[in-house]
Amino acid sequence: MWSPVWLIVLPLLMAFISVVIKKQQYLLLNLSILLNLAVLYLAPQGMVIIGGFRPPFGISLNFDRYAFISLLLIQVLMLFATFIAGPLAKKYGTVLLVLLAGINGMLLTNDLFNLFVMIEVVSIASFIISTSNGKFTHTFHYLILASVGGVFFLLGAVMVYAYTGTLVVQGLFATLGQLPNAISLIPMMLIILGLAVELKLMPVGSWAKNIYGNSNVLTGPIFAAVLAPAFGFVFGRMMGEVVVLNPITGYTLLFMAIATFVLGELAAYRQKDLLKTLAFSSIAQSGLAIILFTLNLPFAAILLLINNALAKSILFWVATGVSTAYETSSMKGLRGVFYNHRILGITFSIASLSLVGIPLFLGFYAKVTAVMAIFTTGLIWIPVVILATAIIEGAYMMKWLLQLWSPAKEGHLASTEEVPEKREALNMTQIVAVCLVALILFVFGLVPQRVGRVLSVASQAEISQVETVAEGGGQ
Amino acid sequence: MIQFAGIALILIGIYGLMTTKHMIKLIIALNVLELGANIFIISVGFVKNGLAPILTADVPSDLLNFVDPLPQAMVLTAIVIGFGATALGLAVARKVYGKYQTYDLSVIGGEE
Repeated sequence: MWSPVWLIVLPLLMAFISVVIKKQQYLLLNLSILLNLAVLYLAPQGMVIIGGFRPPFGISLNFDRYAFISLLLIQVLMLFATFIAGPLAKKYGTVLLVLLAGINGMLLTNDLFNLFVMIEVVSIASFIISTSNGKFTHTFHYLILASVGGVFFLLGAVMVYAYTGTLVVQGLFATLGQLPNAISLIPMMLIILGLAVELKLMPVGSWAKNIYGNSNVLTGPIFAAVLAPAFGFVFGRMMGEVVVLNPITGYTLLFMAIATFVLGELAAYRQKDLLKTLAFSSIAQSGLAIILFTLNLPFAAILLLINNALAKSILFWVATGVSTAYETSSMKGLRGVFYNHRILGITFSIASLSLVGIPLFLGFYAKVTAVMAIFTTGLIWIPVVILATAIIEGAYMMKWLLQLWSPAKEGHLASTEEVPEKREALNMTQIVAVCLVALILFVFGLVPQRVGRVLSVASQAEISQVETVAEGGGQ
Repeated sequence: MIQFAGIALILIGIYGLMTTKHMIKLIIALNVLELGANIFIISVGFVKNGLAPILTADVPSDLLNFVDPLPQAMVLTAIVIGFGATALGLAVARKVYGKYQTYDLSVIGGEE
């Protein structure tokens, strides 16, 4: 009865129904997410074989602890994102349902070609959602890059099939590892390049600065807090179970990730626009997560992905809310805006401090874990780069916090006359929802070891050794 | 031989994507790239003088010389996905044309 298959089937079914009853699409969307949460709680963990066809003859789903944690995070953030986006989520209800089905499929599937299909479903849904920014050339740019990335991923998957005779993700690493380096090099490069577009790796992730930088209350949180961690988790699964790195692919990927991280943070520091700052910060953080997965440090990477997802969702909700209300996202236009919106200011501050990695926040635990873990690999220069970049990140986030809280110019005392006229950024129910996510982030920061214990099980499951729990359509 | 045709089309598609700023031509280049990829995938399952993998009364049950059906199924799915992305790309291009009266991205410049 309770099978993880429902996590894909339910949103897809609701998407079809929502086309017929358009007025109820928002209700169907929320209902689908809530039912998904129930399925997550009730479904037994393990491998699910669809239609009775055992791998490699059929598609199977891998519902292990790793998938559970990622799915839980996505459903919760999707619920909050659609609730806070309100009318926009109502307008894009059907697309959001397809997006949810695609993401859940991506995180569950144990088949490489099925993963390609799910990535394409998610990509097409996210192209449509990005049109709500009203910047169609940016959507077009994203569409072209992501489609090319999809073709590369498909070619990589087909080459893997040609060399190994299977597309089953579980155990593929061991099979590919037996191939000579020269043979596995091209498919691995193609798979990494295919994922690199959605992971926002430089130079192919150039679409992100425009889509994130012009985001609204729907697109910002969906891209930064739902899609980014989802692709991060998929990349983690690929690194754990499929991708065989040799010195060429390993160092290429590592240098691409480090370049993304450092250049992203430097670009964020130079911005005078709040949304663009958050856009480049998201690109940089994606680079850091890829560094950790590449170095085979999944625990630190998962911690970082969760911290970023929670923090970025709050930052984008508040940033898009105030920039829509005050019709600007520039530093000058938003100076002192939190004087009028103190609760939003507090939530924004909590998220910023956690993102930077200030002690007593989850981000601190995540970054310390990451740095300590990288030291164990012997690549001492990488933690040095991370710490140096963290100073840049801290500098621009503090600069923004000071500017958003204080209406005074730098070096001057603030006066109430300088405070911008108050406008409604988010309504009371939306503020409560933002506060709830901020509370989750704050509580996680108070008990990081407990969070770490739960996640360490998930990180061990990344290379899955799960048993089959359901067959024949998941019954 | 078929594989080389696929790789050639992939390279032509990449060349097109890198050298044009016209939205419709970009979509055509993307389609050429996808077509090349599809031909390449078909070639993976190709067997010389192989039969279709359909079991009929005329085909011996111990036949080993058959074409791999999986790459064909993959291509079928990839064609559908490519069609969807192309349709969406054309719709977005039409929207851009409605706003700027041109398909040339170099004329439109950065959209802020």
